[in-house]
Amino acid sequence: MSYKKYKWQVVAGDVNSPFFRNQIWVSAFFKYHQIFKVSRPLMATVAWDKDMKYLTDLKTWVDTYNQLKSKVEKNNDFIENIIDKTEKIGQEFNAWTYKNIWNKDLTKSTPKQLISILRSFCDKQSTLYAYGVALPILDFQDFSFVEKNLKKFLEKNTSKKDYHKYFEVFTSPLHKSFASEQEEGLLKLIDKSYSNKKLIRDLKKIDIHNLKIQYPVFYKQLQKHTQKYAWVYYAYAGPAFDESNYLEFVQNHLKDNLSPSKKLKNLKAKRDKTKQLKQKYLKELKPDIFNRKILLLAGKLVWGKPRRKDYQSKSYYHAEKFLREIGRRLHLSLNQVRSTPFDLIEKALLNKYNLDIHYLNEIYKFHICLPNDNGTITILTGQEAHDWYNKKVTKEKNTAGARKIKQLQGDSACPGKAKGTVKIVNMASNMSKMKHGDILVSQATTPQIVAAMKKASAIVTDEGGLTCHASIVSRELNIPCVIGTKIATQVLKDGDKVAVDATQGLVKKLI
Amino acid sequence: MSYTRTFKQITKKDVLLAGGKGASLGEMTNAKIPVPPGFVFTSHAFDRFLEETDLKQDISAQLANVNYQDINSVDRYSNVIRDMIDKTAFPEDLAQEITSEFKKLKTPLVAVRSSATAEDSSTASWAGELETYLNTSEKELINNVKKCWSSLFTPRAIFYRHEKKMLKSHVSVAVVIQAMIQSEVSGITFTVHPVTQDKNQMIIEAGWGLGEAIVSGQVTPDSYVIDKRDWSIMDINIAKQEKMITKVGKATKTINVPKSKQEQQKLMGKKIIELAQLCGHIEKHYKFPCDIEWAEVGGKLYITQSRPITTL
Repeated sequence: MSYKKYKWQVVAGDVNSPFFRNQIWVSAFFKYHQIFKVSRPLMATVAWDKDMKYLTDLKTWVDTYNQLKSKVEKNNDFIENIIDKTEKIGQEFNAWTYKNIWNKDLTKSTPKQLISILRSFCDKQSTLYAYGVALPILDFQDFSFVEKNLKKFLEKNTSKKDYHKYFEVFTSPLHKSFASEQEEGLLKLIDKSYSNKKLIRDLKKIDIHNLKIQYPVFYKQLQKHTQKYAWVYYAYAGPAFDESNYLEFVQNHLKDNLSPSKKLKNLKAKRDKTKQLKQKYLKELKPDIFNRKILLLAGKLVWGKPRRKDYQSKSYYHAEKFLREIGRRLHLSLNQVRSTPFDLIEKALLNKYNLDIHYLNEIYKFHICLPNDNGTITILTGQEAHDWYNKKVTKEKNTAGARKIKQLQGDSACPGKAKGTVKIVNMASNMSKMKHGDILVSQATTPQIVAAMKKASAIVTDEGGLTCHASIVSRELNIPCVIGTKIATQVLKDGDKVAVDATQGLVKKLI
Repeated sequence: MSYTRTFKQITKKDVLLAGGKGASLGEMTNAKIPVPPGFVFTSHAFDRFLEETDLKQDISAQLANVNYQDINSVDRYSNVIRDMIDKTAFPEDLAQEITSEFKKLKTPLVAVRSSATAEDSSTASWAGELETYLNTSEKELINNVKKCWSSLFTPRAIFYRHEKKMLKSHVSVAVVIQAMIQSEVSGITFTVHPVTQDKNQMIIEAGWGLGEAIVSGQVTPDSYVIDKRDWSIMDINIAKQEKMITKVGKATKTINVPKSKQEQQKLMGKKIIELAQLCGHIEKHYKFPCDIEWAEVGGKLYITQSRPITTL
């Protein structure tokens, strides 16, 4: 078991990442040599039923990073090529899962056909990870190719006062994300019925059950919208959004009494203006070829990097149907199928092998996926996993005493100011405590908690980066947002009163 | 006149004779559902006992005195009535008939369960209102049958009858005597999701040991949600179980669940689906959502009780 040779440390966290996804993720890095002609970074996962951590051996990460960095320096199109490539294989992958899973009667498939689907799914999904994760590997310490070069250029060529204005324009994407397509679709849907005063008034309070009875036409439209976009916030394991989730989005839109047609106009105007301003600023700043590329790439990166996850989310959503069919055949719940190693699924489907359900339940509760040099993955569970994690893994610094800190500094993702009550929201199950106007504080936001983000007067996160989820969504929703504070979720607790100055990247505790 | 009927001799129409529980067990036995074998000591036996011993008038007189606003009053008259039954000798011919039927079961231990009857009991489930005696040997049999009779007059049962306005109607009690299943796992099935009332979903609750711990709410069981349309498992929730009720020596006791089993899933997937389909079959037979008690031992499933869900 060669994983034992390496020095593992925690590099990042995530939520709701089942074993099904973790083993695909860990296997992605075996493809690094073949895809990029670089050495393989050692990456592993530690996952509880909700929470998870990414591990790395930092030395191997740095090796891969240095090799990728030199490729970026030699070929300035390298990052853009990755974005274009993921866009292409992402679309192909979605079409493949649609055709082979979503649109197929799997109850008639033979075990061999199911196994072949499973193998192809994992192979395609891990290829997307291999390409996609190259970008965060490149964002390391002080080196973030696009962001650093963009900042360097703007600091040199614009005044301190105007810097933020330029930064915002160049980091704004020209294209819509799937989430904003969804949002506009929903606004159009509301707009169609906006003249029906009674419906609009009732919509604010109605639940999905009564909507179905009292306004069947509107319900049908909402249902259609849901079918189209159920996957958008699915991430790795859903649950997929249903009509009641999108009804809540509708209700959020109706809170500010601004007409949907006005909102749609504003969104379009904002995009048009971004486009114009990019042209105008390019003329004005006269960047050389290299910097022109950087200026244009910034917005594309903000659009393209999370888009890889969208394609994956859609295919994971399609795959749920497939996992349920396996569950039906093997008498497992969805969570148990998601906790079954692939070789065991194969054995059980082909040879009527009896699965050890207690082992699967152990994996669901806590498991570690570790890569070996020979291309295999070691799975640790139970006491062995706890012992290994406690003894062999370097964790984040001890932050006892963090509560005494009065002020936090991070980066501005979306400018603006707000005061309010802190609510720590890391996963969907934390969302119910969120009230309109609260300050949402999160390790890192995810698509699953977008409904809570919409209620926030400001968003603060531990993790950061120009292209992190919080950064993109806050700009789409125009909510003041401070990212990269590193320790906000340890310094702040539910109920704390804070003042956020997102323009300066500051969060102050008010007592 | 015979006062016992084997399950095979009973159908769901025999509620007045065998009580709700007894009639249901007979109906299921005849529908080839795996019910542990047994027989019913009919309500006519209890009626005869009351008639020939003059207890009937005495009990009516005592019941008329009860002040339902006062718990102590209910308790007091309950004690008086149960004492009267206890002190009256059990008819010898009835004792012989029961013992002879018991021997035919060829099992050392039985469960002795009260099964109430009333003209209008379709609206009253009597669920858990009367008493059950597990692991009863031949020696204790007659005494436990008698205790089942008198359980018609526990304070709870007196209250229940008052609440359901059954005071004036003729209420009697049959006694179910059934081979004891020393279940490794047991539980309850609702053939319709009791919360969402979704007819496509079934909920199975399962715990270690005898079912009484779950029925009485002493332990939190595992819960399995089944999609009845394709017999797939939608969700499995495992609950930690530290105590279970089981037979230790000759006695029924509450003991600790071995540590290694406390957090384990109680029923395996295949068994879950086998049970779900069996319960689906029962629901189809009754043409009504059911609340079913089941038991598993040595890989074999038994249905120990079933009744329509009256709260839907």
